[in-house]
Amino acid sequence: MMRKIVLSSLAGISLLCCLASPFLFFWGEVSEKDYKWIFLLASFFWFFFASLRALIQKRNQHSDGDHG
Amino acid sequence: MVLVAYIAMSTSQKSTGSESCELPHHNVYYSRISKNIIMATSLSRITDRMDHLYEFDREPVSSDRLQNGACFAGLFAGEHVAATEFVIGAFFVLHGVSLHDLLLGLILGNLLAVLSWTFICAPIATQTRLTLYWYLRKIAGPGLNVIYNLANAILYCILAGAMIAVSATALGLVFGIDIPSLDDVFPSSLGWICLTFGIGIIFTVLAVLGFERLSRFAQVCSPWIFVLFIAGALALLPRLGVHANFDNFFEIARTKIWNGVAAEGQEKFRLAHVLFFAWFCNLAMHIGLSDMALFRYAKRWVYGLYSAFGMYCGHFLAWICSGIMVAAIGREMHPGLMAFEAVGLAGAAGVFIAGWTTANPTLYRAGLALQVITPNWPRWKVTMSAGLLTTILSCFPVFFMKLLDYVAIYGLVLMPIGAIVFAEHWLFPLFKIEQFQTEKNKKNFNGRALIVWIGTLAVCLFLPLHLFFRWLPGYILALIAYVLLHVIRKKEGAKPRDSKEAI
Repeated sequence: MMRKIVLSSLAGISLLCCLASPFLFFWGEVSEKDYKWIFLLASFFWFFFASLRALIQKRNQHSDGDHG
Repeated sequence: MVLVAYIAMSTSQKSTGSESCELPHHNVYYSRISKNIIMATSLSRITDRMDHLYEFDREPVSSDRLQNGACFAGLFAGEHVAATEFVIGAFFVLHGVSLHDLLLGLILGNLLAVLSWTFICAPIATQTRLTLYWYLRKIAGPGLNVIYNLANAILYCILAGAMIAVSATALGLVFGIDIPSLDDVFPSSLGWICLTFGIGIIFTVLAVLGFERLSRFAQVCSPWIFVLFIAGALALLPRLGVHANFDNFFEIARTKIWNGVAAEGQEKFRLAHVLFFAWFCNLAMHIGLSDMALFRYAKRWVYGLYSAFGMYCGHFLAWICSGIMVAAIGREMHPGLMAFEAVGLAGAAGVFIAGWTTANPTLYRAGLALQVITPNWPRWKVTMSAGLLTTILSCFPVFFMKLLDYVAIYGLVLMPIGAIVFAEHWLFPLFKIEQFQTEKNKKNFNGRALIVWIGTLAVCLFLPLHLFFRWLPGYILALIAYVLLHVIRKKEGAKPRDSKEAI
């Protein structure tokens, strides 16, 4: 359960970074090149954490099913 | 009719062959038995096979399996932010839609779509707790169900082909392959053929290897793809001249994005076009009742309102975002380039992934529907065949470049079935017409349903209206015609009884 919460939070933060980066570029806080790099990195983390969360969720479902 | 003939032909050889093994007194006489019997046997085999495929959802959903509203909100939001959104929103710009027409058209059109889900699809689904497949089987008979399934399969293949083409625009950037122009019907270059063919084969093989894994991957992708749309639009606004405080946003939107000027060779769209498109974009799902499969899990019919999450995230925000992106890259219909210019490498990857994750379930559904005419084929073989057909179709840019027209045709073809089911469910009790006569009489075909389906499409073909507007009079016509045909039959059936009673 704890692992799921941590992974969900990390995935959420990554997605927020994805969303924040174009705003930072739009307001002139970062350059276009930097914004694209931030978006790419944040996307990578999103996929990593969200996939891991989905995997754990699936495993939990399986183990619940086995016990049930 | 061609489809009926094909089904009969494709299975008649096998069925006669196997019949000969089963019958101890097989002789020449039997082989000359009327073709109708052979066709009926073939049809019964096909319907048996099809029933077996959909067996898992044959029973109405039980109360303990009903889902909460959040589940529907998430499902709709994920499903309606797809690869096609990159194309549709951009096409509104190319068709010269003005800002006023776009906003009003999308608000009203999406509202009508939500109301269609809420008042037409969800009530029937929550009352019957059945999928359209099983409910249509009761109403129209297994024979018509086979035709409906095949029509659906072909339409799904075309749609998946368009998704592959969208992905190809992203990968084409890597290989420097030019994408076809707006008016192209046939492949414009060998590079495009190789690209779409390669992607199509890869998508098909991956769908065969792990459909379920890909579906889970698609769930992970959908929130990110939505963010990609927002990021892409926002990042390209400075290029269009929008200030950091947004003070000139509406002026830029009116003059540089949705400026009311159609691109060369493109038809000018107005409010009614946008409104009707937003409404019928998922016609097969709401009015056509395909989403009964979804809403049979809803606790109440008002859950139809959750479709607003899909409509206003995907068919409102994402379409606006793709419109901004296409305007910023010089009004070129190139989803891959659009996203690459806006978000860089992640953008191009996003378009590719969006096409992939949308094509995957579409390929699966097409394979499932095609399985009825492929006796004893394993699942992988059917998906491969559907994938091959889809791959060939994806080479033709007409399906991608005329996506708006194709979406209209897709909905139009399946819409009469929705009208037939609606009439049988709601109007028959009102007119005191007996429901489910086809099932009660154990008939394979509901002839009146077939006449209404074909007749409605024939009338729609010749209606002197724009393609986008034809479905509505067609739907009303189908409703009236189906009820009227049954009223006439009821009166005809009552006549002899009346005369007997008089005697």
